[in-house]
Amino acid sequence: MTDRDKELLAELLLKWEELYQRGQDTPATELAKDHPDLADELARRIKVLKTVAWLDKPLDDDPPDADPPAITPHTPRTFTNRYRLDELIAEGGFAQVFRAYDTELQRTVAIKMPKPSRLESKESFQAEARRVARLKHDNIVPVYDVGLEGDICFIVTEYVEGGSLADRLGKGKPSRDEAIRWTGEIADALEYAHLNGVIHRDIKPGNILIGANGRAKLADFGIAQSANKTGQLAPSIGTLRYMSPEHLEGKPTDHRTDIYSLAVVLYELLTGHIPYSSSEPNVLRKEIVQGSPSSWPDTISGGLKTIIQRALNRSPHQRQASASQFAAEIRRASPPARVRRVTPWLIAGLLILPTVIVAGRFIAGRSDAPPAVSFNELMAVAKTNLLHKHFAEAEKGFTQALTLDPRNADVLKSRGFCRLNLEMPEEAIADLTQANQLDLTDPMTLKYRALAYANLRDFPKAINDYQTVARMMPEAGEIKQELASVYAVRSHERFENGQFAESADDMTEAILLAPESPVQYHRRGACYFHMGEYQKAYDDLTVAIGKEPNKPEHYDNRGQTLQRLERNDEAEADFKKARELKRQ
Amino acid sequence: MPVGSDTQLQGLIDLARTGDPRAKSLLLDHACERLLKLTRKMFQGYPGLRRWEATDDVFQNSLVRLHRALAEVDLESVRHFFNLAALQIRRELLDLKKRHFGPEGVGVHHHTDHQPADDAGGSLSRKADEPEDLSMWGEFHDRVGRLPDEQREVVNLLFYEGLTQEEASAILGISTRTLKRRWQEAKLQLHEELCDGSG
Repeated sequence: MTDRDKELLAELLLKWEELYQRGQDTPATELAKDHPDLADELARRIKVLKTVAWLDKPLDDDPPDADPPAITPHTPRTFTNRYRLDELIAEGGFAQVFRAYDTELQRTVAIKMPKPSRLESKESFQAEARRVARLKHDNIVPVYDVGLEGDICFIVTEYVEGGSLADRLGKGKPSRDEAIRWTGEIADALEYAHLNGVIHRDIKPGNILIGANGRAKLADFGIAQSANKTGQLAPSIGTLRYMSPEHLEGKPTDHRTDIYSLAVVLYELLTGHIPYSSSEPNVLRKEIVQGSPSSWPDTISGGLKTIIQRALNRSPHQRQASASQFAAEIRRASPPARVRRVTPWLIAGLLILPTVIVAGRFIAGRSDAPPAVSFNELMAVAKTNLLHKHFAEAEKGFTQALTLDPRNADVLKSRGFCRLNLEMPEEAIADLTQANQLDLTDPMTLKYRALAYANLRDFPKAINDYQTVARMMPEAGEIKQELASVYAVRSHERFENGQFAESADDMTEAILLAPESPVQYHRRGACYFHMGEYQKAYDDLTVAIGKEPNKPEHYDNRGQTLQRLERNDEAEADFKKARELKRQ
Repeated sequence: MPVGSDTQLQGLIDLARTGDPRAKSLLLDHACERLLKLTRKMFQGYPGLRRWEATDDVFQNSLVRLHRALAEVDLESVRHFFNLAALQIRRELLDLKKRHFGPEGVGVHHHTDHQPADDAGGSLSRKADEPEDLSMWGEFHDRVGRLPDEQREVVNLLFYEGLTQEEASAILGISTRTLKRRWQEAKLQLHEELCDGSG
């Protein structure tokens, strides 16, 4: 072939490709009509380019699973002459789940069918399913039956109507009380299963179902283990998110892998996101293996934070020893979220004032008719309930007292305080606003209202109230601390929304109010990092390290910052220090 | 901060051209992301291995090695970086393949439903369709490495780095038409090499 022929062929091939990309597959003979001697070679090359067209396709972000669906149009629609498949309700990498009808017992059931290629052994799968079927617990989805239809294994379980926790999270995070209750219920189920020698190894919101009665039930119990003889599961990205470090690294796992995963679920229920910053598998994997969540939002209170941190420890030995211990700890540490910034002296303060006033009224009116006594009794009971943090009962008592004295600022303030703790911030604000109108001199009324506004994420009003309180109580250091917390919470939200400059501004306010807190510098450093202001980030993180020299997170973040500053040796030193601290 | 789309990639290239120091780390993230995607593609026919690969230290080690190799490089130009990254990615993919099907390969006993494990060394010459097994992928990456410079550079940018033809031609300083031609030549050459199966 001459050089001229090669040149011509290349040109013709480019022309063919242009037309082909526009949907015209022009025959070589037509393209080479002026050079018929090249037509055969052109046809061959066109054929080759079609063969290697896969090189032009973009790489899928998430390639479709290579498995054929377990159910095809030829799959029987009724299994073992008993179960009628009605609707595919879920499909994952491992299996399909159908809503079905048990024609014998005349009830709706769920049928799960693992994809054949994911099963190394039908026998071991069935044996495992039978073992799980023996688990009987209120918070475990019961297995009714295990069977084989042709080559397809299937498991019949209770059909839980309420959907999964993953569905629930899709609609927004649940309340704190729900989060604690559901997590506690699943921990109860795990404790029972662990005592029976079964480890779940795939705890995630998609495997937690919420029944019509609002109770959580764990599904897929232990069944996934049978998918692979080695015990290595099929971690889709979704599952990776909840996977313990030892599981991820392929090390031996025990029941504490479930505790870790459940702690990730609890974190997600409380915050709306998992404790790691990335969903990218390679980044996520690094974060999990490092064993240290990237951030701790203020929505997780101190007590719970400690418990979850422990459960998420990289070392299983450092975690809670059992699921029941984890359940007990979170239940103990789970007073309503609104209480978390309220110190005991606040309650004490609330109790003293009404007592004095009521006693005064009682004394003043002791010769009067029964209503005065009744008011006093109501208040005494309500105060006792408040002292014991029985906010619902206390709120009722104060409401009754208000029917007798509807313009009593102290009672309104007390009821507002109860409502704040009962997660009724709007109602609390109404009470506290009225109380403030009746008595403009009580800073505590405004302080509670500031908390209520903060709970509603109405930060400007919360800040305004706190600033007023700070002017009324210039010596009260705790007010500055609380105002700093409000700025910190808003800063965190802005950070989550990618408003890094605004987030940094808030954190600056927080630092001015509470300069001793290392967390604030750490947070502002993170903002600067994302703003590309690495020197400022470095400065803040250095201050954080100075204040908290044993916290590995500070070193990790400063190390990343130093990398951006291309001070790689110093970065390495920080990473090394972080690793050392984590090992301690 | 991984790069997630072509639009972002273009932004990244522009950033690098302005000399912004963030560009290098973002280009590095992009290379790691491409390694992950190419690994997934290679392992598409091996659900078991793909799962394993996505979680095991072998992939993590590849990622770390790639990171280290690229982190040490000065960002002379985007073109230089992309070529180097593609070379490293190719090496890592070949290494992954070797680890699975070498004598000590951890995946030596794994196989697809249709491909017996003892066939791992052969079957190259069957066709130049998208490689179906790791052995064929290994051969593919190896053959790319042996292409003439001009062709290999185009494969680097389009296939390994995932650039559009417009982005690649701009980086190489050639017309899109010239780039298309080199790309066609590279594909024809690869097909010939793979189908002949000769060294």
